[in-house]
Amino acid sequence: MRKSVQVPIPEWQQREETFWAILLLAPCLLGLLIFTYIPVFGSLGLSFSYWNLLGTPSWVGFENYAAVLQDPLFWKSMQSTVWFVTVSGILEVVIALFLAMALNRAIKGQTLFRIAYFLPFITPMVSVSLVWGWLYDPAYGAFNWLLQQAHLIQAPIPWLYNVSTAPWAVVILRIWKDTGYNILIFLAGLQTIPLSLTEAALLDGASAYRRFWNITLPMLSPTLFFVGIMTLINGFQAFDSVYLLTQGGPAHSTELLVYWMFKNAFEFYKIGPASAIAYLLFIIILALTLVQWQLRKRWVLYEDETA
Amino acid sequence: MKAVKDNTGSRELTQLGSKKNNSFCLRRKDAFKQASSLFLMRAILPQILGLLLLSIPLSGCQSTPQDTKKQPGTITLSTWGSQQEVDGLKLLLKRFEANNPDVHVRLMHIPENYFQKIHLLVAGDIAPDVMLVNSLNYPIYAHHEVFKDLRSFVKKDHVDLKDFYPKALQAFQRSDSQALGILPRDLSNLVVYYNVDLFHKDGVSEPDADWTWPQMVEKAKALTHRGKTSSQYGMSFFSKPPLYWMPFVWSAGGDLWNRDKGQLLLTQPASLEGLHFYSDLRNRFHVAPTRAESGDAVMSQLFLQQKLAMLISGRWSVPVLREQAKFRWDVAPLPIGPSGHSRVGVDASGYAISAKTHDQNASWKLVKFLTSSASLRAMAQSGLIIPARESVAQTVFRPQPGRLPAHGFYFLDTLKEAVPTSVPTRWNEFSELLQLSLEPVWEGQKSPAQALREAKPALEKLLRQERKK
Amino acid sequence: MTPPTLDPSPAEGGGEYFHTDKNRGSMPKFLTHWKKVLSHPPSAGEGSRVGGSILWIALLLGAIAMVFPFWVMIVTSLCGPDEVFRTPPQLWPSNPHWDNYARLFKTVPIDRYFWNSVLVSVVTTVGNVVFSAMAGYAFSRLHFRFKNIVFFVFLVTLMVPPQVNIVPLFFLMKNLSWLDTYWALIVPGLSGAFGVFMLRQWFNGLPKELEDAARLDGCNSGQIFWRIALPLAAPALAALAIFVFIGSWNSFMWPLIVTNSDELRTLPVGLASLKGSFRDTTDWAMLMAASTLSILPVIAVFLVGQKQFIQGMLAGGVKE
Repeated sequence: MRKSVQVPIPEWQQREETFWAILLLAPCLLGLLIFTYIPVFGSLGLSFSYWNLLGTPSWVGFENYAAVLQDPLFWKSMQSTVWFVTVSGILEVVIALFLAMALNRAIKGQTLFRIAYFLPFITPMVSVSLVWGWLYDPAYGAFNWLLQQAHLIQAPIPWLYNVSTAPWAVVILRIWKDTGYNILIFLAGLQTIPLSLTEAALLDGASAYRRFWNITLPMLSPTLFFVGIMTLINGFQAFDSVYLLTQGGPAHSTELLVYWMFKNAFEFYKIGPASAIAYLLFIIILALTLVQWQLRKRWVLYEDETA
Repeated sequence: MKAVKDNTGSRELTQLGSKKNNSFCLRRKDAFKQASSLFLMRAILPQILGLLLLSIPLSGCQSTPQDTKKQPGTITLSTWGSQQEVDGLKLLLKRFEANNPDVHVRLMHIPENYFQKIHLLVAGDIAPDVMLVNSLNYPIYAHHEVFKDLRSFVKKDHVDLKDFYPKALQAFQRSDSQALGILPRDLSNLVVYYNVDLFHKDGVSEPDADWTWPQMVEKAKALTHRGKTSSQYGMSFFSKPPLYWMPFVWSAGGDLWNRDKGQLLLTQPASLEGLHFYSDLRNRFHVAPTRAESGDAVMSQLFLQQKLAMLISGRWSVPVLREQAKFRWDVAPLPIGPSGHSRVGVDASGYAISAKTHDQNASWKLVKFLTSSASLRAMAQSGLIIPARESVAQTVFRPQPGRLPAHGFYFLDTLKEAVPTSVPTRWNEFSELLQLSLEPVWEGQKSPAQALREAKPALEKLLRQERKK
Repeated sequence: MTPPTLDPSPAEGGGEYFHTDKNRGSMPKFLTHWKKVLSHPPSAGEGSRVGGSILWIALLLGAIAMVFPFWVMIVTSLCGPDEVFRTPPQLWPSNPHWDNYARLFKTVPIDRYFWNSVLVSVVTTVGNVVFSAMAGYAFSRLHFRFKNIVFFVFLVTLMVPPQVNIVPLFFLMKNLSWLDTYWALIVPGLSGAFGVFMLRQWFNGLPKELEDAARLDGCNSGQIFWRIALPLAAPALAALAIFVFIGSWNSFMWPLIVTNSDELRTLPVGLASLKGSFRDTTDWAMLMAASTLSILPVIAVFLVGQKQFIQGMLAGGVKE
């Protein structure tokens, strides 16, 4: 990185720049202070209160956190979320990686492929959840029909109504939706692998498998980590699909953390525990984000070395 | 955006001289044509601006709902219900507006999660002026003084409260206040709807007023046929809300809770027997469809499609059946349980006025109108409700030949032994917890005793808080 | 939709941002990378022919899997009432029932939902993009006291998941009497650190010589921003605009909570309420028709601005 030479600027210009800086920053800054900072602290306060939206909140100290952390439903929710995030994370990364490698060559119909793979990502989760609700219908949905036609299953799978299949139903939907974006990131990452390395490996007679394992994978490791963590962070925030497909059921099996928080806040009107759950979620995502930043600092060095 | 136009006027902040020549701008344009991808700008920005311009007239023309609401003489009415119910209500509202030309009513139809929505609206100070409320959800709002006390209005306009069924008014009584927050509209209980044609086809005798649980199972078994392409089931199954299986608990001699002691009574043997029987409908007798079998289809849907012989439901199903059923149907009371009685719960619903209404006179006029004998008669005649006014109920439920259900008077008969549902204030939380703990029971994975034993501490915690209030 | 977290590397300057390649002018590195991806992916004889065609088939299957649900959606939306619940499901209805769409318009004010979504998304986009550009430029090019502190203030907000704010924000709207108005839908979305950082990175990559020249000519910072920096940022602005538009169009939880009247609902909320309003039988044909309508605009926006969108995603994504 080229270090910019700091030339001292005259004072009148300093004042002028400050004036314009204030003007230019004002809308965003004001917006963030009012619509992010105030609510964040408000939420913290609420997590220490008892409130049901009517009347006024009353202070209860750590009771909410204690109740939440002792609530088996919360831990079930956490467990479901961690499972969801891990499974969808791993599958998303693997699938997207291989599809990206496949796309990373001169192929016919590239534009069409690009559009096809990106379509799920840009569409509203609400709309696609409705469609998938229809696809998952045990009696009339297309999935069961296709699986039965291919003789892969005998009886129709009760996708959204069975405790073991419902989580998979949500995971599959998520993978379908996010793959396009991940492919994109991987493609960009693949582009940064210097051709010289690949050519040298080919000259040395390395097989495709060796090339993948010893060149592609290590060079892609920053991208892999990035995609992995982004999937985790986004996975922790999954809401729309649960709201429309399963409403947390059956038997709490798809009660992902954000949906559980939403339920506590806007169905039971237990604002205190809901805020506590939100803050716990905050801590988790914060930890993941910090990990991601730290890793990126490492990447920058790594890339500089190899560039 | 391209900023190649003349610099109009001078800016206040001029540090270096006053030369604002345009030559720089022109130079800039030439030099950076490539880099700035002007083509993209030409392509994208006009479209965005165009969309924006299109939206401005729309936003300008339509005033926000908040503005319309604040206009004098406009009040909002919220209701739940099916499309037919809403259509019937709209006719009534037309009549109301014709009689009260200075009042306009905006109807807010909330078909799903009604009370969640109302709670949010109340919390946000944008509650409707007049709300339909039921006795299950009344306590918590009454506790927070959400509704206006109607006693002064009732007295002023000489509304005869004695015409209402006592149980209807009882359902809304609070232990800590004499305020009357609601005028009742209807009473609601449960009966068994049955498909007469299916009964005849399978050679099963129709149920009568004295049939018992074993007899019900026998009939249901004879009516259940599971096939490869389509199945027919004997009995419906609702896992929620509790109102559907509580009758079995009561008919077995059990109960939900004890208000004075804050105690959960579902764990008592009689209650467990009731729960066991209900779960057996699915898991032992196999006369009711499992969730996987029914899928996304709703029980009433299956009944209409003639895939269900018996449906436990309330009066609200009558209009739909009258309109859409292509078969003969009738009703019977729920069967008699081990206690020797057939007991269902009775809820009431009625209209309340928001304490924060901006036009209480118009709101009161609407409430009075909607709970008047004429309106109740209209609503009852569509088959939708059991009116809360006894006089109206007696006239409407007189058997009329050719009109289904033939045994409509069962609706009124069951009222006699019905149990007014009493619920803890935090009913939402409580019922959700209860439902969650009982789900494995309905899926045949746990026994009721086991499930409730596990859930008892959490449930009783909520009940005990009741006593604090 | 959560935008990917940007790397807010506190170090100033864009570093190795520019190729000295005269043809490219002053285009940032990631753009050229993406140009490569878009047009000429390297294929240095990798893999055999057979391997290549197997991969192509795998890609095709994947693409079909991606598109399949949309196909089912459209087909179902055109099915008649009997055809919907028929097995085997049809590939294309023999008699397309375009009247399902007419019925949809009559049953539900979906045109109102549509225009609400358009209004909210467009205004949010324009506002967010402009404000982000302003703030991004300030961070990039202006010197002022407390710059690092303010930067940090912006930075921190990126780490806060939106769910944390929702209840207090609801109450803020209540106290401002903004509940059930367009204000509540639009204003909170007008400020966002994501766009600020994205544009800051972009502005960092612009050569300082332009501004120095402009200052010599007597322009003040505001004019430099408006007349020079902003037009040069057009690709980034377009990318951010598409990004924000799609995010706003797809947003669901917030409009769900903050709007109540039918007149104010955006498409996702309208869709969800449509699904809930089917008491007895879900009218899948109509539901699918509504879904189709809700998806068309984002697809249109995406098709128009593919390249910008993708480069914007990358800007937020891989590295700077």
